Amino acid sequence: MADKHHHHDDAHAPIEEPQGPPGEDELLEVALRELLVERGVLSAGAVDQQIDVIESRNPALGAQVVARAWTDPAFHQALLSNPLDTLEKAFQLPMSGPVPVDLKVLENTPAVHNVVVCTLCSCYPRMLLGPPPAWYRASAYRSRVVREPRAVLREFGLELPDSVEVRVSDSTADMRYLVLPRRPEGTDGWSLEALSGLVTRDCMIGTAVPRDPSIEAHGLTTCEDAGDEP
Amino acid sequence: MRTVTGRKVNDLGGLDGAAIDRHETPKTLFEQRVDALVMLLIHPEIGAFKVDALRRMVEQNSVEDYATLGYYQKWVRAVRDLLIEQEVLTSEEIRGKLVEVRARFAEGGSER
Repeated sequence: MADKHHHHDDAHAPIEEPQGPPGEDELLEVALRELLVERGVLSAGAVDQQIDVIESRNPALGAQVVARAWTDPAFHQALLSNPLDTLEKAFQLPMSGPVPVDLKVLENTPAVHNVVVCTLCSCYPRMLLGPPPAWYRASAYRSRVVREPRAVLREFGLELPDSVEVRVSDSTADMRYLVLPRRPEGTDGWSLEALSGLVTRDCMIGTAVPRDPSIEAHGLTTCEDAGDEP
Repeated sequence: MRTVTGRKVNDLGGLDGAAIDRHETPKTLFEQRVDALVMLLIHPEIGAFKVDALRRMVEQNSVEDYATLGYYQKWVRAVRDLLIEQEVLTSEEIRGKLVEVRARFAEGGSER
């Protein structure tokens, strides 16, 4: 099977899994799932239900959090000092997953831009953004962003002035990070909905900044995600 | 498993790397199911294993497998090994079930 799988160090190889007839690993998933149901470890349908739960968390939720933080000073303060409790109260959503995981909100300022990675695996603020994109899990991002973050950000279309310090935070199993991007100029009086529409997933990872509505897209200060997770 | 540099296979920070491939496609059903399976099994309600154990298994891949196997391929194999290690299932049971599942798929038309 190994010849069917793409090498991640090939810049042109798609990251996603190969498609086609069921491979050994697909058969293995079916076998394990069926055995676990037969043994009473899992209830029938538990996996499908869990897929729905996972899909219910997506970057739109994170974008709402950011928009609220931009417009509500008390929430902003509480979010930075006590993220998980604040989010549970404000959004009525459980923020602790299957295992306790802490969350830290990293606020971008005119002087500091934050970027998040997990160099060891793929730890990610799933409770707010859903599962991570393929590039976040892949070796190129994980290896390079801690050493040459500006070059990596440039590949995402984000060119930061030298005066801005770039801080890369390496996530762990126990600590996840959400980047709180800067609110673009010219958005005074915007609704929460309109503001959250500026906040893409990549803005909250730090590989993009929100689109500045006063500037026509010219590729430097704006950045669009390559694609969205479903 | 350590490489000559003393790093484990998953310890990539600071190494050389290729251009970032930002290509994304929706998750396949296989990927979604493996993801869901792991989330269920690490949940304290079931507690088949802890997420750290999953990572330990993934980190035990050879350099070659770590680089070439898909993310969720590594996960599903780690789940298999952990379920055996934690005596939730036996390798014989899994082998037997795989024969059954493979036969069903070969006949075609079977629900995955």
